[in-house]
Amino acid sequence: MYFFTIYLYVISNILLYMGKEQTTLHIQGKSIYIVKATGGWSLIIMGDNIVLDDYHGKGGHIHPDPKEHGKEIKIKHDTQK
Amino acid sequence: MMLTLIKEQTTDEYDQIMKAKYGSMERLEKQLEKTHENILYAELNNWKLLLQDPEEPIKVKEIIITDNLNIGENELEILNFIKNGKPRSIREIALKIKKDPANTTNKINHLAKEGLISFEKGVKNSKIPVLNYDKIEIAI
Repeated sequence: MYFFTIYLYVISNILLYMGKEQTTLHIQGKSIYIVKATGGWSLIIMGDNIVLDDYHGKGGHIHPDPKEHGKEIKIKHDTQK
Repeated sequence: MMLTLIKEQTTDEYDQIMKAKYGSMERLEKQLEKTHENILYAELNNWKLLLQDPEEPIKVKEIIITDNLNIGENELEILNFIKNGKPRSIREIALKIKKDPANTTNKINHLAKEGLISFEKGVKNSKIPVLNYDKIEIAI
């Protein structure tokens, strides 16, 4: 729970930052690579190669299949707010 | 403990790193057409995103969340010397900070294992510790 709270805090801070940023978060043996710029953001769970992104402001979605980036699951929460 | 290593990178430096990795953006696009891999899709779109506003630097952060790291006076002294003294070997660090070489080696290896520093190859297989960040923030 402690790590999960920190994880949410870190992710939300990164996504709220307005400039261009590349962050690699190392937590409990996992690495999460996060990129943020004016035109959108992305989050890659390294190793598993699962991608979450909001490129070009088209709405946050998940690419769950590491070998097929065309597959998308829409994130219900409105990431534009 | 949460450690954040921070440095600034120019858009051009980032572009050069990506070109060294993939050759060119066009080659990465072709590779993605063939394999459809998530990682290539993300790398390509991140590359395009981060090339926007070329005058604006990119803030690069490495965040390490760990319970296995104790940073005391010795570790800070070692980090400071690696950053500012540009040592050529671990032995040089031990000599400079007047500490036992074996103990200093253990501490440096532990700092490297936790991702605070990295090693470059020196002469005769020696390892040169390097700290490529401008700022370290520690939150406890």
